[in-house]
Amino acid sequence: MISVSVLQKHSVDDKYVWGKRNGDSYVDWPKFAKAKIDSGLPSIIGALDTETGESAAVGFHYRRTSHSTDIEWWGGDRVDLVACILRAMVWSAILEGRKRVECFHVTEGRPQIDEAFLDAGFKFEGTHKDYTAKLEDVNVYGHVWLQDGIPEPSSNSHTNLVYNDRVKFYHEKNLELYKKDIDLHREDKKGITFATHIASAVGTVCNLPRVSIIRAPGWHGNEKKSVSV
Amino acid sequence: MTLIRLAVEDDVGAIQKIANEPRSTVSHLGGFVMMEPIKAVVKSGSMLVAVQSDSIVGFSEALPFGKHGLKMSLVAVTPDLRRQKICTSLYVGWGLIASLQGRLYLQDHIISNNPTMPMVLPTLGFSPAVVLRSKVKRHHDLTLWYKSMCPQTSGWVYRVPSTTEYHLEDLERYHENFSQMGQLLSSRGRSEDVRESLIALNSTREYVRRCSLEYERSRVGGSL
Repeated sequence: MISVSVLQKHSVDDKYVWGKRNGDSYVDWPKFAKAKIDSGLPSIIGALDTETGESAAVGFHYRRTSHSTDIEWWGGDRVDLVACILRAMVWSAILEGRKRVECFHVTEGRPQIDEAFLDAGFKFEGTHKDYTAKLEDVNVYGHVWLQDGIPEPSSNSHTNLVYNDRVKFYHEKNLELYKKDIDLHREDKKGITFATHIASAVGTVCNLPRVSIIRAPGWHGNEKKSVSV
Repeated sequence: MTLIRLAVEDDVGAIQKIANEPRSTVSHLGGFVMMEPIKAVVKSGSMLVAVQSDSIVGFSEALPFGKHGLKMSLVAVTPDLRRQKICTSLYVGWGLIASLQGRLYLQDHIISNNPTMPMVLPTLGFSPAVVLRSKVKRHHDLTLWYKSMCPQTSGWVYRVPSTTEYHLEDLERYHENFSQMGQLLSSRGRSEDVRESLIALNSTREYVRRCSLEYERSRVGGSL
């Protein structure tokens, strides 16, 4: 059984996760992860195989734009675990009202997990040579749920997603921004606006089998940072 | 004659006027361009202008992408003077600067509703590297175009009209970037790329020196 959940502070302390990241051995990553988790938004999603104890993690990198989010690999080399996480990240992005999830996956010094992206419904969008400051190449994978569909959960996994006030705050904020965009606000050929598509996608995610939605007002004792909508 | 040079503060008004040309340019540049950001870009030495008869007729912005790349940004030419390879001359100008700085590539990002740049970029040696689907607000794709500077593909210099002259300087900060890039490439075991960068640097320095001389000669009536 694979258990997928949004990483919380105690998970890092419990060594639920995997030590230092491959290829980035200089990173004191539990400290880095804690700082990231403290943001109040779901930041790092982990998957644990309860039978073997193997695990993997992928994190959101930034959410600078309203309509897309960038993710990065944090640890683990089992393709099925990473694929489960990637699906959860797409669902999490939908809950935040975003239309695209992307990953600029460094090809050097990282495990071969490219297949996980394709398994999770991401599309390969190209390779960029010497992309990073260390002159590493990247493979770019993107998921646009309106085109690619909402991924289905795998049969041997259970996922816990967080739908707290922070997530709702971003959802509302993004919908406000979409309203200012004439092409997104306008009805499409079927008479449906993008806001309607998002509402319907959120409904689909909330009703997926083997996916639980935690609707806490805040989380990991961080309620003061929650934002009321 | 068209002169390509780095923009100075006095050019900001003319640049803004071209950027906000209402008939076509403004929509491709993503909306009204404010003056303060242009000033900041000009101050950082990231704006080239094309000058004809002391008037600004085009501009091109390119922002550093780490130490290793140059990210092309806003570019526009006065509508009446389009299809005269002014944009080509501006891009080649950035290619020369990239060589002086030891940068490995130029990167451009074009939204799929732009009909012009996908036709211009291949003629300059760019090729599409990544298509980011539905990346921008209006469900449009964003394509990342890539042109390698290493090995130096000097052929594109010959696309520049003979009436174009460059007035570029080999600045101290370019030298600094070049040497840091050399160290980075060496640490990555890419000695072949270091060698190619040096070849590109020498030929570019020669080209820039020659163009500047010709410019000075034309300015003082051929008495140099």
